[in-house]
Amino acid sequence: MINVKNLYHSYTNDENYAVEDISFKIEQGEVFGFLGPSGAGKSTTQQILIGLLALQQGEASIGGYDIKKPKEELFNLIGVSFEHPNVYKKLSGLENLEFYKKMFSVETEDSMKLLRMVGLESAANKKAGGYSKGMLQRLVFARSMINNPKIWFLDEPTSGLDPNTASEIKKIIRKKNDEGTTIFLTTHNMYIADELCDRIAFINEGKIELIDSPRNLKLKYGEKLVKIEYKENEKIKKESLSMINDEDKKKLNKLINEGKIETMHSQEATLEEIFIKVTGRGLK
Amino acid sequence: MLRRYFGLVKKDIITGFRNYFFLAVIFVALVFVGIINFVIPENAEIKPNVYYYLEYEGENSNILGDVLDQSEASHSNIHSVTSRDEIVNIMEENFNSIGMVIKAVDNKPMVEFIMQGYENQEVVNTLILSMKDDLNSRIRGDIEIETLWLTEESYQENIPFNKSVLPIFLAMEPTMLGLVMIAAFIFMEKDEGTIKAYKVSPGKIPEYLASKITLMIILGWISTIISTFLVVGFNADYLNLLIIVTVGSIFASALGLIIASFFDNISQSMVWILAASIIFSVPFISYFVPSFAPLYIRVLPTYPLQFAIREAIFPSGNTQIIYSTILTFTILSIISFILAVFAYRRNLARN
Ligand SMILES: Nc1ncnc2c1ncn2[C@@H]1O[C@H](COP(=O)(O)OP(=O)(O)O)[C@@H](O)[C@H]1O
Ligand SMILES: [Mg+2]
Repeated sequence: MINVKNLYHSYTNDENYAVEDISFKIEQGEVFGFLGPSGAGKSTTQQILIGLLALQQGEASIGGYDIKKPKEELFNLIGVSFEHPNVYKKLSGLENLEFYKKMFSVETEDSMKLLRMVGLESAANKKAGGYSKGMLQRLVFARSMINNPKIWFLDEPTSGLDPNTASEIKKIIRKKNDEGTTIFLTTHNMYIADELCDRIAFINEGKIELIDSPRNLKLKYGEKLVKIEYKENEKIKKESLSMINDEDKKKLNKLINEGKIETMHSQEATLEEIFIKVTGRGLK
Repeated sequence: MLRRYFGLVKKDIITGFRNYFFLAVIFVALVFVGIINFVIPENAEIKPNVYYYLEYEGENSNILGDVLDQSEASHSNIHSVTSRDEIVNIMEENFNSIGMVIKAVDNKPMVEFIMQGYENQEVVNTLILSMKDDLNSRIRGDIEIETLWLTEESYQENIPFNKSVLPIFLAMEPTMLGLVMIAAFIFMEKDEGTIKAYKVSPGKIPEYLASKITLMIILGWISTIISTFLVVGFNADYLNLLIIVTVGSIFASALGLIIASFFDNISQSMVWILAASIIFSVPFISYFVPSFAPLYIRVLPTYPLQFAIREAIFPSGNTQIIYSTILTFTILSIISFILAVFAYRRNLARN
């Protein structure tokens, strides 16, 4: 559905690339995630694909349409949820959706239904200028579904949302994916990437470091960890010990033998730990 | 395409309304009506001064002298002098003046006009025509004055001065207010980032711009109808007036769109918007001082615009100026709209 080859982009039109040699493919029905820290080039990549930034170098096609010559059909096919909410502040949430709906020439969703889905039903007739940041984000998210997109671009869909709302949004994303929507999402949140994505690209400093499924990544890079709490000199101590590292194994054996362990959980490596291992830096 | 256009227009009208654009336009129109009806005096005209010298001393010189004396008595802007040189001297000091020498050729009176060189044809013709009418009524066929083209273009003597200001307001409203409002609108949407959301929809730039221009046309109509009705009532050619205002608004707002496309916020663009407004207001001088119409004023589109609007509000039968102005502005509108589309394609590709 999405095919990207050797994409480069420089905001300054020089060798100073914000994204560099980006290549990936997204299959139909897949949820593909860009995971990386702020400034890694996630939004830049997405904006090139949806035609908001010029395609300076490289090739890309979406749903079979070459993005160099974007056609009306392409825009009927895609939905975009922006990182920074951009809605008409003088219009109500409902008016925003009703307006946007008219721009499409494909079957569209019921605006009120979408507002209900993201919990904005009661604010539907309030001017968007009076919405909180989280409400605006939900409105932009709802708007991106108005044309029943076949390919859905989500830039940091849950950042800044409270955990409850975030989990509602995740549910919607999963549901849409179950219905067959292909999804390209960016996030700096390892949990989102882990929970939602079929495959993840680690992106750092404008480059893709690797692409794989969360499960494969954990198998490949994640050593098993054991998290234990034990008593030493009448004090509770916490530690994570590797099941691969010899020294850690010895220490674990010793603690078990001495009978000092209070609690013990086995734990997988998180995507962030793997990210650090691969790129040498964290997601913050 | 039409569905999108009407969707955009509806959105722009609602937004314009909630941003008090309609209120502002109605308020400004009412203030102008107030100024026209209650502040500006009814009879204060700035006509060119006419200096004449009667050199002819033939058989009709008495009648001629009478005509001129009468004119001098009834019009404050007609003055008698004692030589041709004096006329030239006075004219060199006062650009809003015209000279007239009545000479004898083959013992018949002949009128020589002395012009500054930048008078508009309308004024010259009017002057000559009124002279001719005056003289013809006294001296049948005995006086020879070059006959002229544009005979139907008569000077509209009987418009009260205060009401004659209305066309200026109607020509100015779309340029000044329209330029500022459309730029404000564009920057508001740039600020909101909504243009990005629009760009990833199937909506096209020409539709987007056409909708903005449509809002400006509607505001122009409101302003025109309110002010014209309150100043002259039903006595205007409303159909032609609204057509002129429509093409004028399209041109002005497309120009505002082009200017706005070069900047990121309204304060950066304000200098250019003001500069454009001032340049397009310069022809208003010629409206009040018709004899001052140098080429650099006559090439500005607001120059014919104000006379066309005047003709539509105070019809004198000179529909030619209405149609030629509509034609000019239609062409200008098409060109500026195409340029605006290019400007926004370039601008949006850049950001
Ligand atoms: N409009 C812009 N002009 C110049 N540089 C930019 C612009 N937007 C982003 N950048 C730079 O490009 C790089 C990638 O940014 P971005 O794609 O927004 O990262 P992310 O979405 O992963 O946080 C960063 O170094 C950022 O500073
Ligand atoms: Mg980003």
